[in-house]
Parts: sequence; C-alpha cells; structure tokens
Amino acid sequence: MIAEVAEVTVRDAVPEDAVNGVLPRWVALPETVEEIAAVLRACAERDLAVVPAGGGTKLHWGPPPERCDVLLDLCCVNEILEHAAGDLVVRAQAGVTMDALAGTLAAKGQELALDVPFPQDATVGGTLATALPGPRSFRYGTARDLLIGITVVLPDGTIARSGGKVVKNVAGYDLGKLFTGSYGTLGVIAEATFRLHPLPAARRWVVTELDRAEAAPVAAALATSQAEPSAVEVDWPDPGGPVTLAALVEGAAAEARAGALRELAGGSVTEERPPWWGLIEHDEVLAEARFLPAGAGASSTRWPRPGWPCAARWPPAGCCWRRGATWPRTSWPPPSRGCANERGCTCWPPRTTGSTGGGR
Amino acid sequence: MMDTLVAALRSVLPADSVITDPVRLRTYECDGLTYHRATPGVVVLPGTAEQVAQVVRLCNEHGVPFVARGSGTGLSGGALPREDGVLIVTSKMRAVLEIDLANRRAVVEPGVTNLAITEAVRDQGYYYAPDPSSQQVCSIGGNVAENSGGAHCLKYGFTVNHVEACEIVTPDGDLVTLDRMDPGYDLLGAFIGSEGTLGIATKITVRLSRAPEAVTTVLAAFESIEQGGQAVSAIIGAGIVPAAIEMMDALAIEAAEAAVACSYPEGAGAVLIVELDGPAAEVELQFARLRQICANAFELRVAADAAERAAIWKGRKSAFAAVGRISPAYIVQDGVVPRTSLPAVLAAIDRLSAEHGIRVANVFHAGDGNLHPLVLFDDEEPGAGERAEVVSGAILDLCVEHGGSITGEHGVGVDKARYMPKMFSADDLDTMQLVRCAFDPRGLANPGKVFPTPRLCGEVPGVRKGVHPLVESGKAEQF
Ligand SMILES: Cc1cc2nc3c(=O)[nH]c(=O)nc-3n(C[C@H](O)[C@H](O)[C@H](O)COP(=O)(O)OP(=O)(O)OC[C@H]3O[C@@H](n4cnc5c(N)ncnc54)[C@H](O)[C@@H]3O)c2cc1C
Repeated sequence: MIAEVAEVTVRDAVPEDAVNGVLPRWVALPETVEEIAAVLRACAERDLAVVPAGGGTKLHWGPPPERCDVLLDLCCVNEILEHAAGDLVVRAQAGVTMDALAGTLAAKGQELALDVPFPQDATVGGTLATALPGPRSFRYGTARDLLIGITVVLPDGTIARSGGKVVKNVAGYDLGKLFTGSYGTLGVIAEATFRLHPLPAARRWVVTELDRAEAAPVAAALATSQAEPSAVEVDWPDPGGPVTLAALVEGAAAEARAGALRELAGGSVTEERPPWWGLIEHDEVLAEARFLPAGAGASSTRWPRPGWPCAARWPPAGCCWRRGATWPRTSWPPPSRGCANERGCTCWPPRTTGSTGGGR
Repeated sequence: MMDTLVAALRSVLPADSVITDPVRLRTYECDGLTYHRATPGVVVLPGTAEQVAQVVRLCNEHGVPFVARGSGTGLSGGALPREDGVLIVTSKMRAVLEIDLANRRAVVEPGVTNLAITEAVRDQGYYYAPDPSSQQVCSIGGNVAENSGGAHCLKYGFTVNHVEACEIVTPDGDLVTLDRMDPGYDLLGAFIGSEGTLGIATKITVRLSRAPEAVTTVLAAFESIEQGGQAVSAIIGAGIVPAAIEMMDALAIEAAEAAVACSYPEGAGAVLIVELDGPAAEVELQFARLRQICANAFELRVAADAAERAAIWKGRKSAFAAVGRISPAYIVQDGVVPRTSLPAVLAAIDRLSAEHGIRVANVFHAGDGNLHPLVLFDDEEPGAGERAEVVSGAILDLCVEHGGSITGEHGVGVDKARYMPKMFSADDLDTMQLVRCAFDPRGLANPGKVFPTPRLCGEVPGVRKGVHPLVESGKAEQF
C-alpha cells in the first residue's frame, strides 16, 4: 500500500498551504489519474480528510474546512490530452489552467466559451467544481452545458467516467452535472471533455449609460433582440448614480448587429471590452444573488429541502469529506520539493490562497 | 397485492383515472419500439402533481414498481410497462400553466406536447428550441426523461440546455423542485435524461428562445457520400455553426422519393440539408461562404420561402417511415461517432452490409455525427431478422470503437441496457448506481431500464467479488 503511494510526491505543508486558516499536514502532488486514486485510497484507509485544490483562486470561499489533513494539489495533473479540432472537442486534465487551454485552442481558431474569472490561475477542475457563470453564459450556457464527458475519482479511489467525447450522447447518467458546482465534496475531478466553439470572427460592445428607471426595459430589449447579443451586463457601482449597460455581439457581421443594438439602447459601439466587464476585482464579492431577468419569481419547494444544513452554508468550504483518526506521521514518504513533471508546474513554491483574488 | 393496491388507487383518484379493463390495458403494452411488449398491471391517469405523488406513495407502501409514460413515442422501450406494476400516464396533465415572456420562460405540465409550447408563443416571436421529429405528439415530460434533441440541436443544444426547473415526484413520493439556479449539485441536470428512473416530472419550466431574424435552407446534391462528408468538414472548419446539417444516402433518398415524392435531385449519391439561422447580416455572410464550400455539389437549391423550406425538409422528415416503402421490415438504429470518423464508419457499415446481405439506408444528423442507420430486411425470409440484428448491433460496436456513443437521442431503455458495458466499465456503472440508490433506494422507479444488471441498493458497489448472486441463482444475466 505504502509502496503504491510512495510513487506520489508528497511534501510537508507550509503555512502558505493553509486553506482558509486551516493548515493541512501534507500536500500530495499526483501527476496522473491513477496517482490521484492512489492518494485517495490511502487517505480513505487512514481516515484522513482531503481537500482537493486547483489554482487556489476560490479555495478560501465559504467557511473553513472542518478538517484538512491532506491538500490534494492538482496542478501537476496538467496535460491537454486531445484537441480534436475537426470535432470541436477537447479533453484536458483537471490541473490545466484556463489560460493554457485557451492558448492551445486559439492556435486552431477555437475556444471553450466559458469566461471565468482569474483564468491565469483558475484550472479546468476548479472551474467545474465552482461552476461560476461568466457574462457569455447568456448565449453559450455555463460549465455544465459545455461539459460532455468527465473522469472523477471517488473518495474510496474508484475511477469513474461518464459521458464521452461526442456532443450528442444520452447513454447513462450524467455524472458531470453532479460534479459541476460540487466544490470538491463528491470526489476529485480528474479529467474533463468539453464541446468547443469557433473563435468569433469579430467582437463589438455596445455601451450606454442610463438612469435607473430606463435600465431594466432597455436591458430586456437588448437581451431579446434578433441581433442576438452573447451577453448583456450591468455595472452599477453607486446606488444613487447612473447604470452602465453593455451588450456584446460576436461573430459574423458584428458591426452591423451592434448598430442594430445601438438603435435600441443608444450609447456607442466599441471594439474595446469595458474595463469592468466580467471582472471579480480583488475578491470584492460580498454575495452572489440570482434572480430572473425581470426580477420576479420564486419556486415553491426547494431541493435540498428547507432545513438541510448544507443549503444554508453553501459552498461547504472545499471540505471534501471527513473521517476520524489521523495517519501516523512516519508512514508518509520523505517530503520532497515539487513534482517530477516537466510541463511547467507551479507546485513549488507553494501558492498562497485567498485575499488577493488572483491566487498566488 | 395488486388488488389491494388498485382499491387504494381508486380511493385517491377519480373512477375514470384507474384502468384495469384488459382490453384498454393493451393500448399501453408498448411504446414506439413495438417488439418489446408487456401488459401493465394497472394504468392510472392522474390529473395533478399531488395525485402522481399519492400514486407513488401507494406504490411504496405496497412495494410495487411504477413506470411513467408520456405519449409513448420513445424508441428504446423506456416506457415498457411492468406486468407487476403501475403505469403512470401523464396524458391528463396537458395545461400550459404560465407564459412569462419578460423572463422568456413557460411553465407547463408534463403531458403537454413539445410543439404545443412553440404554438403558444409563436405569434409573439418566440419558440421552444429542441425539436425532435416526433414533436407533434411526444410529451415534454418524455423529452425531459430522454434529454431529447432534434435536427437543430447542433447549434441550440438539447432538452437539458433549455429546461430551467422541474417539479418532480421523487421515487419515495415527495414533491420537490429542482432548479437550475439552486446552488450546489446540479440535480436538475442529473435528473434530465434519467429515463424515468429517478422520479416523475410533474411540472416543467422551459426556456423560450427568440425566433431568428433570418433562416436560409439549402439542399446540396453530391455524387457521393464522401463528397458530402467533405463538405460537412469544410463547413465546420470554416467556423460556421449551422442550425442543422442533415445527410441522406442514395438508398434513403430512394425511399423518401417513393413515399413522399420529395423530388430531390436525380442521381444523387448523397444530399445535404444545411440550415443557417440568426441575424440577417450574419446569415448572409455565412451563406456566401457556404456556396463556395459546396462548389462541387452538382445541384444547390435554396428555399425562397417557407413552403420551399418545408419541401426540402419533407424528404428528410419522412425518411424513417419511408423505408417501409422499399423494405417489409426495418430496424432504426441510433449511434454517435466523432464527426471526423464519419467516412471511416460509413465505409465499415458498407462492408457489414455486403458481408451479411442486409441493406442499410443512412440518414443522419451529420453535424454532430449522430447516425440513424435503417437496417432493412424481409421478415418473411428465414434468418433475415437475425442477420439484421447482427448488423444493427455491429454498428453500435463501430460507434464505441470510434469513441462515440450507443445512443445520441433515443435513450437506453430496455433495448440497449445490454450494450452499456461496452461503453462503460463496471466502476462507471457502479458509480451511476450510487446516484440511482440515492434517489431510489427501493428500486421502484422504472426498474430494469438503462442498467444491465439489477444491483440491489444495500450492496456496496465497487467491491465486486465473484459472480453476482442474482446471476448465480439464474435470476439475472450479465452482459
Ligand atoms: C417518428 C419518431 C421520430 C422521433 N424523432 C426523435 C428525434 O428527432 N429526437 C429525439 O430525441 N427523439 C426522437 N424520437 C423519440 C421520442 O419521440 C422521444 O424520446 C420523446 O422524448 C419521447 O416522449 P414521449 O412523451 O413519447 O415519452 P414516452 O415514450 O412515453 O416515455 C419515454 C421515457 O420517458 C419516461 N417518462 C415519460 N414521461 C415522464 C415524466 N413525466 N417524468 C419522468 N419520466 C417520464 C418514460 O418512463 C420512458 O422511460 C422519435 C420517435 C419517433 C416515433
């Protein structure tokens, strides 16, 4: 058993490894799906609590983990396994950063149409686990809509797959849906396959400043326009001040379509992204509220049922699962610095999570 | 058991909503896949979500399995009833409850047909995007259960991308709502496509889409299927995502011609239907590019109006039924391959066809690699049915070998449960079973569908030791 885990790089945790103030004892740095499974199996057998981590950009969200013995750092599981450009599909490991992925895809004129915050550090796995929507989800959907296949490792080390590498596929349950937004609580996302889109030929923003009363009807008119914007965003920093509305048009004939939107909203057409567009600056998010575009509506019963503890405190702080005893210190392999991977990992020195919003 | 259950059902439902008359029960003995048949123990036609919940609770009290049924158009035997169970039919739940154009949503009951949603909002310039060919009759509840697609899902996605919330009756009889906006696990996403095994949808909130400003429909005729395939690759390579790209081969064209006189260009080895939609300015540019790409088509027709568009689609939409004109019997297969594998897979299907002396007509959603081979045979000819089965199964093997799927839209149901282990490992299936057990620990919701072996929920998946007890005792087979 130990021989099996001995193949995996493990080091002692240092203060920078703390997850929301909770210091793990060890940091495991697996490099393959099988190594993730080996670590999880070993931890399960020893009743160690594991917190999986990607780029650490959102690891501090929510309350601190109830326990964290091992930080499972996925940054070394970072290979783009297959970009089938003709099929508009990519398969990548969990530790690939969103920027690295975008670079590879752009070389063939394609993109994964998810505009997540902190793409430099945010990873494929963390993007799925937190499932944050970006502005363009209005047109392309969120992570769960673009995910077509997933490989996960369950807490007991079982490696399971669902979906596949074709967009159209209704065989079996879609485990990928359950793992998007799961914040590491169901197991570890190891690999993911996404459907891609061609990079838009052109982009234009229509930006307009309105007073409060005008904003809602104009936003609605933009959103339902047959010029088909990809996103309609609102920036309203001062409750007493005006509202800035921006709509993004992408693809062929972007200029003409943006012109049609300006007819509806006024303002100007620009090739430049508004500085506030899709940004979460320095973690200054206090809360995320979700409501219907027209502001109304609440459904009657909710699942999880009212009164379930987790509903009140989601996300559950990257706490993967908890168990009882701890692993005797001596049975870990000797600590080393960083992994043997040559793909340019960031596993050493340790990243600092939290407060800066951009990871390290 | 059944008698006491029927009495209990009569106490909670109106008299005409509980069917036990053997003649009437037979109406429900199969879905669109007619060679699997079973007479249901009892059929109920609840009128409200609360009634569905009461029926499910009674099934729990009596330990009796239940199967949901919408319009019964499913093609994988998903709504095949149980002789020892209750069939819950949603045909009395047909109300469109709410249309909220400001939020682009509609709330409907599960028995509402797919097309009825579009019809309710068409005049205001909206529609419901997923459009299965069966849309005039199939129910939205059935669409949710199968995660149905349609010709236009290449650009617009499937049912799961257009459903915002579902009220469901869980397998233990609770009425809950799964909403896309809920934080946490995407239970709605997991429920959609679960083929009635995780509960019954009783109210569905769908997203409405704005009708596109322009639609251009093109029919391109090629000498060979290879040329047609190259055009498909070139369209995708040019960064165009058409609303639909459909292809038919010579045999499928022959059948459509015989059935509906669609007058596709004579002598075509393949026809391609490409539909572009969106803002007029964008469609115009894309159409110019499409014309260049299809330069080697020997005929290119562009629909000038809605009537001509319908004429182009007529041959394609009639294709399944049309093969009845050129063959006494046939199997409709549904498999998926990566688009770039289409040429290799089509060539392999040709070889299979020649080897077994069984004709195969190919109709497919070429844009997303979803094949619908129609395997033709003469049921009067001894052995022909078996050979057709072999060819049909071998086509699914080809799909899996090429990294595709055993079903793109018709579902697993009873028909393809035995193929699941070809696509998924034992660990994959066990993990799916954990989900099943979390929703339906007693295994009462549509048992026997989707998964190959009945695993009992008490058993811990993952630790498989030796032969499954049910296999050993002869009660189950493992494929
Ligand atoms: C000619 C023809 C063309 C077709 N074309 C397409 C196509 O283009 N694309 C496509 O995807 N499919 C197609 N289909 C297949 C079929 O129409 C779809 O699968 C459809 O969604 C089934 O709907 P239904 O109401 O008939 O469901 P049924 O056949 O009654 O049931 C299907 C499954 O759904 C379950 N179910 C039904 N209602 C509920 C509910 N309220 N809650 C939970 N589970 C429920 C049943 O238990 C069963 O497992 C076609 C079928 C035919 C006959």
